[in-house]
Amino acid sequence: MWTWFYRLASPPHFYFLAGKLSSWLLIPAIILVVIGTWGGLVLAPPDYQQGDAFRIIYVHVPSAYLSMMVYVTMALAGAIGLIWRIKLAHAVAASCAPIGASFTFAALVTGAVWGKPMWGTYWEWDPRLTSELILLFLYFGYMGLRGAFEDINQADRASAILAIAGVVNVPIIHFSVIWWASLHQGPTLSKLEVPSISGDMLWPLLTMILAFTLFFLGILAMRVRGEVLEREFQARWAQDVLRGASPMSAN
Amino acid sequence: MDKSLAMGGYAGYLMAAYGVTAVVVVGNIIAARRRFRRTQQRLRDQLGRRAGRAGGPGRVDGQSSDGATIGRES
Repeated sequence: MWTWFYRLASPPHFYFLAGKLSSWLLIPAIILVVIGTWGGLVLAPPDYQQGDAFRIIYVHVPSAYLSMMVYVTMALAGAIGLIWRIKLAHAVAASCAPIGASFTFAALVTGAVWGKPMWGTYWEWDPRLTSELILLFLYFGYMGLRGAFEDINQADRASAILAIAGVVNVPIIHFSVIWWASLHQGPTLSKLEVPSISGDMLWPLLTMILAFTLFFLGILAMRVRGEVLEREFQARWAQDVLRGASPMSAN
Repeated sequence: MDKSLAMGGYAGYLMAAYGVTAVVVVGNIIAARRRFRRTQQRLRDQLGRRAGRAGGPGRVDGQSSDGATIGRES
Protein backbone atom coordinates (compact mmCIF):
# COMPACT_ATOMS: atom_id res chain seq x y z
CA MET A 1 0.00 0.00 0.00
CA TRP A 2 2.78 2.41 0.94
CA THR A 3 4.63 1.62 -2.28
CA TRP A 4 1.52 2.71 -4.19
CA PHE A 5 1.30 5.88 -2.08
CA TYR A 6 4.96 6.73 -2.59
CA ARG A 7 4.62 6.17 -6.33
CA LEU A 8 1.52 8.37 -6.50
CA ALA A 9 3.21 11.15 -4.56
CA SER A 10 6.18 11.14 -6.91
CA PRO A 11 5.77 14.30 -9.04
CA PRO A 12 6.70 12.77 -12.44
CA HIS A 13 4.43 9.78 -11.86
CA PHE A 14 1.57 12.02 -10.80
CA TYR A 15 2.16 14.35 -13.76
CA PHE A 16 1.86 11.43 -16.18
CA LEU A 17 -1.17 9.93 -14.39
CA ALA A 18 -2.98 13.30 -14.15
CA GLY A 19 -2.58 13.83 -17.88
CA LYS A 20 -4.55 10.65 -18.54
CA LEU A 21 -6.96 11.13 -15.64
CA SER A 22 -8.14 14.59 -16.68
CA SER A 23 -9.75 13.37 -19.92
CA TRP A 24 -10.96 10.08 -18.37
CA LEU A 25 -12.80 12.15 -15.75
CA LEU A 26 -13.98 15.12 -17.80
CA ILE A 27 -15.63 13.15 -20.62
CA PRO A 28 -17.93 11.07 -18.33
CA ALA A 29 -18.55 14.22 -16.25
CA ILE A 30 -19.86 16.10 -19.29
CA ILE A 31 -22.01 13.14 -20.39
CA LEU A 32 -23.48 12.93 -16.87
CA VAL A 33 -24.13 16.70 -16.80
CA VAL A 34 -26.14 16.37 -20.02
CA ILE A 35 -28.13 13.39 -18.63
CA GLY A 36 -28.68 15.11 -15.27
CA THR A 37 -29.76 18.39 -16.88
CA TRP A 38 -32.19 16.57 -19.18
CA GLY A 39 -33.56 14.60 -16.22
CA GLY A 40 -33.86 17.71 -14.07
CA LEU A 41 -35.34 20.08 -16.63
CA VAL A 42 -37.52 17.68 -18.63
CA LEU A 43 -38.17 14.34 -16.91
CA ALA A 44 -38.59 15.33 -13.25
CA PRO A 45 -42.12 16.42 -12.35
CA PRO A 46 -42.71 19.95 -10.99
CA ASP A 47 -42.67 20.34 -7.22
CA TYR A 48 -46.12 20.58 -5.62
CA GLN A 49 -45.18 23.77 -3.73
CA GLN A 50 -42.42 25.44 -5.76
CA GLY A 51 -43.57 24.41 -9.24
CA ASP A 52 -40.83 24.46 -11.89
CA ALA A 53 -38.64 26.85 -9.88
CA PHE A 54 -37.44 23.87 -7.82
CA ARG A 55 -35.44 22.70 -10.90
CA ILE A 56 -32.72 25.15 -9.84
CA ILE A 57 -31.87 22.49 -7.23
CA TYR A 58 -30.07 20.50 -9.97
CA VAL A 59 -27.37 23.14 -10.31
CA HIS A 60 -27.57 24.77 -6.88
CA VAL A 61 -27.08 21.69 -4.67
CA PRO A 62 -24.17 20.19 -6.68
CA SER A 63 -22.44 23.61 -6.70
CA ALA A 64 -22.96 24.06 -2.95
CA TYR A 65 -21.78 20.49 -2.27
CA LEU A 66 -18.64 21.07 -4.37
CA SER A 67 -17.94 24.39 -2.65
CA MET A 68 -17.66 22.55 0.68
CA MET A 69 -16.09 19.32 -0.60
CA VAL A 70 -13.35 21.23 -2.44
CA TYR A 71 -12.59 23.25 0.69
CA VAL A 72 -12.26 20.10 2.80
CA THR A 73 -9.99 18.59 0.10
CA MET A 74 -7.89 21.77 0.11
CA ALA A 75 -7.57 21.77 3.92
CA LEU A 76 -6.72 18.04 4.00
CA ALA A 77 -4.11 18.47 1.27
CA GLY A 78 -2.68 21.46 3.14
CA ALA A 79 -2.51 19.41 6.36
CA ILE A 80 -0.78 16.51 4.56
CA GLY A 81 1.67 18.97 3.03
CA LEU A 82 2.39 20.52 6.43
CA ILE A 83 2.71 17.26 8.37
CA TRP A 84 4.49 15.02 5.86
CA ARG A 85 6.06 17.82 3.83
CA ILE A 86 4.81 16.39 0.57
CA LYS A 87 5.11 19.01 -2.15
CA LEU A 88 2.44 17.35 -4.27
CA ALA A 89 -0.09 17.88 -1.47
CA HIS A 90 0.60 21.63 -1.52
CA ALA A 91 0.21 21.62 -5.31
CA VAL A 92 -3.19 19.93 -4.88
CA ALA A 93 -4.26 22.46 -2.23
CA ALA A 94 -3.19 25.41 -4.38
CA SER A 95 -5.09 23.98 -7.37
CA CYS A 96 -8.29 23.46 -5.37
CA ALA A 97 -8.76 27.14 -4.46
CA PRO A 98 -9.88 28.67 -7.81
CA ILE A 99 -12.17 25.69 -8.53
CA GLY A 100 -13.76 25.91 -5.09
CA ALA A 101 -14.16 29.69 -5.31
CA SER A 102 -15.90 29.45 -8.68
CA PHE A 103 -18.39 26.83 -7.44
CA THR A 104 -19.03 28.79 -4.23
CA PHE A 105 -19.83 31.77 -6.45
CA ALA A 106 -22.16 29.55 -8.53
CA ALA A 107 -23.87 28.26 -5.37
CA LEU A 108 -24.44 31.82 -4.10
CA VAL A 109 -25.76 33.12 -7.43
CA THR A 110 -28.03 30.12 -8.15
CA GLY A 111 -29.28 30.33 -4.55
CA ALA A 112 -30.04 34.04 -4.96
CA VAL A 113 -31.86 33.39 -8.25
CA TRP A 114 -33.88 30.64 -6.54
CA GLY A 115 -34.53 32.84 -3.51
CA LYS A 116 -36.18 35.64 -5.47
CA PRO A 117 -39.31 33.74 -6.59
CA MET A 118 -39.52 31.66 -3.38
CA TRP A 119 -38.61 34.14 -0.64
CA GLY A 120 -39.25 37.40 -2.51
CA THR A 121 -35.62 38.48 -2.16
CA TYR A 122 -32.28 37.65 -3.76
CA TRP A 123 -30.36 37.95 -0.51
CA GLU A 124 -31.02 37.63 3.21
CA TRP A 125 -28.44 37.59 6.02
CA ASP A 126 -29.51 34.07 6.84
CA PRO A 127 -27.00 31.72 8.62
CA ARG A 128 -26.69 29.38 5.58
CA LEU A 129 -26.21 32.20 3.07
CA THR A 130 -23.85 34.16 5.30
CA SER A 131 -21.64 31.16 6.11
CA GLU A 132 -21.48 30.28 2.39
CA LEU A 133 -20.41 33.88 1.65
CA ILE A 134 -17.71 33.53 4.34
CA LEU A 135 -16.53 30.40 2.49
CA LEU A 136 -16.10 32.48 -0.69
CA PHE A 137 -14.05 35.03 1.29
CA LEU A 138 -11.96 32.20 2.73
CA TYR A 139 -11.14 31.05 -0.81
CA PHE A 140 -10.25 34.62 -1.80
CA GLY A 141 -8.16 34.99 1.36
CA TYR A 142 -6.36 31.71 0.61
CA MET A 143 -5.53 32.78 -2.96
CA GLY A 144 -4.53 36.28 -1.82
CA LEU A 145 -2.27 34.88 0.89
CA ARG A 146 -0.55 32.52 -1.57
CA GLY A 147 0.06 35.39 -3.96
CA ALA A 148 1.52 37.58 -1.20
CA PHE A 149 4.63 35.40 -0.78
CA GLU A 150 7.60 35.31 -3.13
CA ASP A 151 8.86 32.07 -1.60
CA ILE A 152 6.64 29.13 -2.56
CA ASN A 153 7.46 27.14 0.61
CA GLN A 154 6.34 30.03 2.82
CA ALA A 155 3.22 30.47 0.68
CA ASP A 156 2.46 26.75 1.04
CA ARG A 157 2.80 26.79 4.81
CA ALA A 158 0.88 30.01 5.46
CA SER A 159 -1.98 29.12 3.13
CA ALA A 160 -2.22 25.58 4.55
CA ILE A 161 -2.65 27.03 8.06
CA LEU A 162 -5.40 29.35 6.79
CA ALA A 163 -7.15 26.46 4.98
CA ILE A 164 -7.03 24.27 8.11
CA ALA A 165 -8.32 27.09 10.34
CA GLY A 166 -11.11 27.90 7.90
CA VAL A 167 -12.38 24.33 7.69
CA VAL A 168 -14.42 25.00 10.85
CA ASN A 169 -16.79 26.97 8.58
CA VAL A 170 -17.78 23.83 6.62
CA PRO A 171 -19.81 22.11 9.39
CA ILE A 172 -21.28 25.53 10.22
CA ILE A 173 -22.56 25.81 6.63
CA HIS A 174 -23.90 22.25 6.67
CA PHE A 175 -25.64 22.37 10.05
CA SER A 176 -26.70 26.03 9.98
CA VAL A 177 -30.21 25.10 8.82
CA ILE A 178 -30.53 22.74 11.81
CA TRP A 179 -28.81 24.83 14.50
CA TRP A 180 -30.54 28.15 13.76
CA ALA A 181 -33.95 29.32 12.57
CA SER A 182 -33.27 29.73 8.88
CA LEU A 183 -35.10 30.95 5.81
CA HIS A 184 -33.19 28.30 3.88
CA GLN A 185 -34.86 24.89 3.59
CA GLY A 186 -33.50 21.91 5.53
CA PRO A 187 -31.12 19.33 4.04
CA THR A 188 -32.55 17.50 1.00
CA LEU A 189 -30.04 14.68 1.32
CA SER A 190 -28.72 13.31 4.57
CA LYS A 191 -26.50 10.32 5.25
CA LEU A 192 -28.58 9.19 8.19
CA GLU A 193 -32.10 9.69 6.91
CA VAL A 194 -34.25 8.77 3.94
CA PRO A 195 -34.01 11.64 1.37
CA SER A 196 -36.87 14.15 1.61
CA ILE A 197 -37.28 14.06 -2.18
CA SER A 198 -39.09 11.54 -4.38
CA GLY A 199 -37.16 9.07 -6.57
CA ASP A 200 -38.03 10.67 -9.92
CA MET A 201 -36.67 13.98 -8.65
CA LEU A 202 -33.73 12.39 -6.84
CA TRP A 203 -31.92 10.53 -9.63
CA PRO A 204 -31.12 13.66 -11.72
CA LEU A 205 -29.80 15.30 -8.54
CA LEU A 206 -27.53 12.36 -7.72
CA THR A 207 -26.42 12.25 -11.37
CA MET A 208 -25.50 15.94 -11.24
CA ILE A 209 -23.65 15.52 -7.93
CA LEU A 210 -21.62 12.65 -9.42
CA ALA A 211 -21.01 14.68 -12.60
CA PHE A 212 -19.78 17.70 -10.63
CA THR A 213 -17.51 15.49 -8.51
CA LEU A 214 -15.91 13.92 -11.60
CA PHE A 215 -15.66 17.38 -13.16
CA PHE A 216 -13.83 18.71 -10.11
CA LEU A 217 -11.37 15.80 -10.14
CA GLY A 218 -10.74 16.26 -13.88
CA ILE A 219 -10.10 19.99 -13.57
CA LEU A 220 -8.00 19.41 -10.45
CA ALA A 221 -5.82 16.90 -12.34
CA MET A 222 -5.34 19.45 -15.12
CA ARG A 223 -4.40 22.25 -12.72
CA VAL A 224 -2.11 20.11 -10.56
CA ARG A 225 -0.10 19.15 -13.67
CA GLY A 226 0.75 22.81 -14.26
CA GLU A 227 1.60 23.32 -10.58
CA VAL A 228 3.83 20.22 -10.53
CA LEU A 229 5.65 21.26 -13.70
CA GLU A 230 6.30 24.73 -12.26
CA ARG A 231 7.48 23.41 -8.89
CA GLU A 232 9.66 20.71 -10.48
CA PHE A 233 11.15 23.00 -13.11
CA GLN A 234 14.67 22.32 -11.82
CA ALA A 235 14.21 18.57 -12.11
CA ARG A 236 15.56 16.66 -15.09
CA TRP A 237 12.25 14.94 -15.85
CA ALA A 238 10.40 18.30 -15.98
CA GLN A 239 12.97 19.78 -18.34
CA ASP A 240 12.74 16.67 -20.53
CA VAL A 241 8.96 17.07 -20.63
CA LEU A 242 9.30 20.75 -21.58
CA ARG A 243 11.80 19.92 -24.33
CA GLY A 244 9.51 17.20 -25.64
CA ALA A 245 12.19 14.61 -24.91
CA SER A 246 10.01 12.59 -22.57
CA PRO A 247 7.11 10.20 -23.27
CA MET A 248 5.11 12.33 -20.81
CA SER A 249 5.35 15.33 -23.15
CA ALA A 250 2.71 13.84 -25.40
CA ASN A 251 0.07 14.14 -22.68
CA MET B 1 -44.96 23.52 -26.09
CA ASP B 2 -44.75 27.24 -25.23
CA LYS B 3 -46.32 26.46 -21.87
CA SER B 4 -43.69 23.86 -21.02
CA LEU B 5 -40.88 26.18 -22.14
CA ALA B 6 -42.26 28.93 -19.89
CA MET B 7 -41.64 26.56 -16.94
CA GLY B 8 -44.62 27.89 -15.04
CA GLY B 9 -43.35 31.46 -15.37
CA TYR B 10 -39.95 30.61 -13.89
CA ALA B 11 -38.05 30.21 -17.18
CA GLY B 12 -36.07 33.42 -16.64
CA TYR B 13 -34.86 32.27 -13.21
CA LEU B 14 -34.01 28.81 -14.53
CA MET B 15 -32.10 30.24 -17.48
CA ALA B 16 -30.15 32.56 -15.18
CA ALA B 17 -29.25 29.75 -12.75
CA TYR B 18 -28.30 27.22 -15.43
CA GLY B 19 -26.52 29.93 -17.45
CA VAL B 20 -24.30 30.98 -14.54
CA THR B 21 -23.48 27.33 -13.80
CA ALA B 22 -22.65 26.68 -17.47
CA VAL B 23 -20.34 29.72 -17.49
CA VAL B 24 -18.60 28.44 -14.33
CA VAL B 25 -18.20 24.91 -15.76
CA VAL B 26 -16.92 26.04 -19.18
CA GLY B 27 -14.84 28.80 -17.55
CA ASN B 28 -13.12 26.23 -15.34
CA ILE B 29 -12.15 24.11 -18.35
CA ILE B 30 -10.87 27.11 -20.34
CA ALA B 31 -9.01 28.60 -17.35
CA ALA B 32 -7.35 25.29 -16.44
CA ARG B 33 -6.24 24.60 -20.03
CA ARG B 34 -5.02 28.16 -20.57
CA ARG B 35 -3.10 28.19 -17.30
CA PHE B 36 -1.41 24.89 -18.12
CA ARG B 37 -0.42 26.07 -21.62
CA ARG B 38 0.87 29.41 -20.31
CA THR B 39 2.91 27.71 -17.59
CA GLN B 40 4.34 25.30 -20.14
CA GLN B 41 5.21 28.15 -22.53
CA ARG B 42 6.75 30.31 -19.80
CA LEU B 43 8.92 27.46 -18.53
CA ARG B 44 9.97 26.55 -22.09
CA ASP B 45 11.01 30.17 -22.69
CA GLN B 46 12.94 30.17 -19.42
CA LEU B 47 14.65 26.92 -20.40
CA GLY B 48 15.48 28.35 -23.83
CA ARG B 49 17.01 31.49 -22.32
CA ARG B 50 19.16 29.36 -20.01
CA ALA B 51 20.27 27.20 -22.89
CA GLY B 52 21.16 30.33 -24.87
CA ARG B 53 23.27 31.69 -22.02
CA ALA B 54 25.03 28.39 -21.30
CA GLY B 55 25.35 27.32 -24.91
CA GLY B 56 23.99 23.92 -23.88
CA PRO B 57 20.71 22.07 -23.78
CA GLY B 58 19.41 24.12 -20.85
CA ARG B 59 19.83 21.68 -18.00
CA VAL B 60 20.39 22.91 -14.47
CA ASP B 61 23.14 20.85 -12.95
CA GLY B 62 23.22 19.80 -9.34
CA GLN B 63 19.51 20.44 -8.68
CA SER B 64 17.81 17.80 -10.71
CA SER B 65 15.85 14.90 -9.29
CA ASP B 66 15.30 11.68 -11.15
CA GLY B 67 11.70 11.37 -10.15
CA ALA B 68 12.30 8.53 -7.71
CA THR B 69 11.75 10.83 -4.74
CA ILE B 70 8.45 11.34 -2.98
CA GLY B 71 8.73 15.06 -3.68
CA ARG B 72 9.37 16.22 -0.15
CA GLU B 73 10.44 19.74 0.59
CA SER B 74 14.14 20.21 1.07
